Amino acid sequence: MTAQYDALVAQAKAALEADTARQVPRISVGISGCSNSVGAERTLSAIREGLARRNVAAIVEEVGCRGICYAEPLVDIEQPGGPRVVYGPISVDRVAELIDSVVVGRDPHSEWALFVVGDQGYAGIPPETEFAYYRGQTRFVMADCGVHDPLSLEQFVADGGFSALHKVLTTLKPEEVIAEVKASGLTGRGGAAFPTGRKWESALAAKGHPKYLIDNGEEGEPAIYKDRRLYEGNPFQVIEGVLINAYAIQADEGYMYIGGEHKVAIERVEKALAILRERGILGKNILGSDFSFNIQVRVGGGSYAAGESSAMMSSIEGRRAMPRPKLVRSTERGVWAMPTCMNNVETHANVPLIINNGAAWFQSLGTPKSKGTKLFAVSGHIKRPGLIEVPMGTTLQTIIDICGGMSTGRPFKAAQPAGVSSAPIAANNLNVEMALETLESIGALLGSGGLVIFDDTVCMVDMNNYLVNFNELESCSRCITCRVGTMRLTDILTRMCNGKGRAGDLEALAWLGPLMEQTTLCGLGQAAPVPAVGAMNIFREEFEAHIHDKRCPAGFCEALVEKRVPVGVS
Amino acid sequence: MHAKLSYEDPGWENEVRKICAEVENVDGASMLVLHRLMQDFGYISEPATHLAAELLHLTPPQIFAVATYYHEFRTEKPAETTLMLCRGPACRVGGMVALRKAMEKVLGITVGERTADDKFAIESSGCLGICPHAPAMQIDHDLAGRVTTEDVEHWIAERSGVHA
Repeated sequence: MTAQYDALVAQAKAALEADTARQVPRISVGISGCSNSVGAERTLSAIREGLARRNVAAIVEEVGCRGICYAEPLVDIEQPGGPRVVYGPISVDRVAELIDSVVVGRDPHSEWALFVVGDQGYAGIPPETEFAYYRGQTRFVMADCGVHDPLSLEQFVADGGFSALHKVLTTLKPEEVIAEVKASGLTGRGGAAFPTGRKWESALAAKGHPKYLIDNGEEGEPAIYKDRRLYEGNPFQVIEGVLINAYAIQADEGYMYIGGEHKVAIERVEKALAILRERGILGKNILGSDFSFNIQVRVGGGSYAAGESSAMMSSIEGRRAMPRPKLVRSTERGVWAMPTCMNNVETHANVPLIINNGAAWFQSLGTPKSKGTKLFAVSGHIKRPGLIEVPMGTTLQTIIDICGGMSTGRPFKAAQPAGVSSAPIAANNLNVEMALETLESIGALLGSGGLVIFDDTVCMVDMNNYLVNFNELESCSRCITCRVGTMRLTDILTRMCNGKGRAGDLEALAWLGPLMEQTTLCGLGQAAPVPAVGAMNIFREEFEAHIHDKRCPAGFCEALVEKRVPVGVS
Repeated sequence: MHAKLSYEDPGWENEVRKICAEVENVDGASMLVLHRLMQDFGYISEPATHLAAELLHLTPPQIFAVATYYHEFRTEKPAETTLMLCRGPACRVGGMVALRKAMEKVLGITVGERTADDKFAIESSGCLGICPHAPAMQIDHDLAGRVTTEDVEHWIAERSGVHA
């Protein structure tokens, strides 16, 4: 036990007791990049003004995102000694009524309520455990997102925060930490799914100082928004994982690389790091131990390629984010040509849980080859889009059910996993388990957990035109086959959407795909043709209809819409 | 949206010197400096590129390469209001086509163009990451979700009025 940690726990306990004894209601508003886009900040200021105008005393705090994006903005209200009720959506025009009836009048106002935190219902409002959106989920990594004030060290520590770091620093050798992570079966959550323990092992063995550690939070691929929500909702948890990682590989310096668009995430992480520096949990002699470590924040510039590990290292060095050949592993020669260990934000967020609950606990979640839980960012034609956490191996159908089914009442056509890197999943595979090995067996990828759901009005040719165009715009242009290949793919698919498809186009796609996979330097270039080629194989008839019949069966491609034959006309 | 500082102000060089002095001890600081120039000046001018290169002990092409690579950095003065459309798949199927058309109709320009009076520009961006709130866009650096054509018409009218 270090005296510093003892003091921290005592402070947290005192703060918790003071909070329990408080005589005023507490109002928590979910503030994240996501909720702000639908007015959460306006809701927050309306609440502050409304309380002031009525002279009502209350604690008003910002929390992160619970992943219940479809019902944002969310407002939690907890009367002293009463239950904590989550309300949503609370737009500005609902604030006055919410204050009058719930905060002042103590009416539960159950029609605006989603659930009550905990396992006890209240006034007809279901408890968290029976809340439909949460019921199918297994929330460990995201457990405290949207619950804690993300910048309250006391709340974090009171809930067991930094206990894993303390345990590691005081009782475990670096090799023992790595053994535990290895035994857990944790794999990288950023897309490549490399075994985390093995990466740490080679990073620890690597010679040379300073040794670097990078927390990869660029998250530039389309339709994924999990890392920024973890940063926003529980930055201390991510940082705790980073620090444990740093100790395990005996790193000297760390970078947290955050995508430039993630403004709220950047702000919260910077503030969290400042708090930790001040409290002796970052910098020299962390928690009074012999271990010292510094972290700098680096902000990306909106480049998808920067998420690739060697490209990110170039970016940190102040250069273009262009991947480089990996003749030597970055664990031996990475940023500044020194040993470097890079892990994804979600990977880091899992680490304290593994240290606290043990590798066996982590092993008990998931499938034989994919352990633990996984965050999925579900969007598209789905009733309850948001960010969910389920055990690895949960079926696609179950995920769709958790999210309330199709939003349009139309049939499911396909799901696009892994941003722009995977073939789509068609309706015949709705029961596929979302895990590394099972998705691979149907030619798809888990990636970092993006999942866009399409109904039958989505044209797969148009969608893939869109996805390859993204790859074209984001290609770093180093490899000719990526730079020109993505252009050619876009040309072919654009032509098809415009009714100018030619015989031989599909053969060209089928030829270009493997060529690009074989001749590009980085994973992004290799993956660039995969969605289009995969979609072409699965939805062959739809692609052929565009070329040969100049017809868009989904009715999406405008140039081809008039070619549709109205019902009753032959 | 107006930037805090302008390259037309006589003191701009001193501001760039201040920014570079702050990162004197940081390795690989060019991204940090360019982010600050974007924040304070709204874009990265060519003279600023040269000055920053000199202060960071780099060649101008080394800075220019970085400034022109990342989407967030721009080397030309932006329009007063940039309407940035999300290019993600959820927005594509969630009503972005109609939104783009409404915008193009009101402003008479298409994606990648700006109005003759420099008041508005329409651009597209990689996925903005607020997919649950499709269609999404960014206006004056703020993310906006569940955007309707009425919202867009309202914003444009509001901003046209202010600057008229």
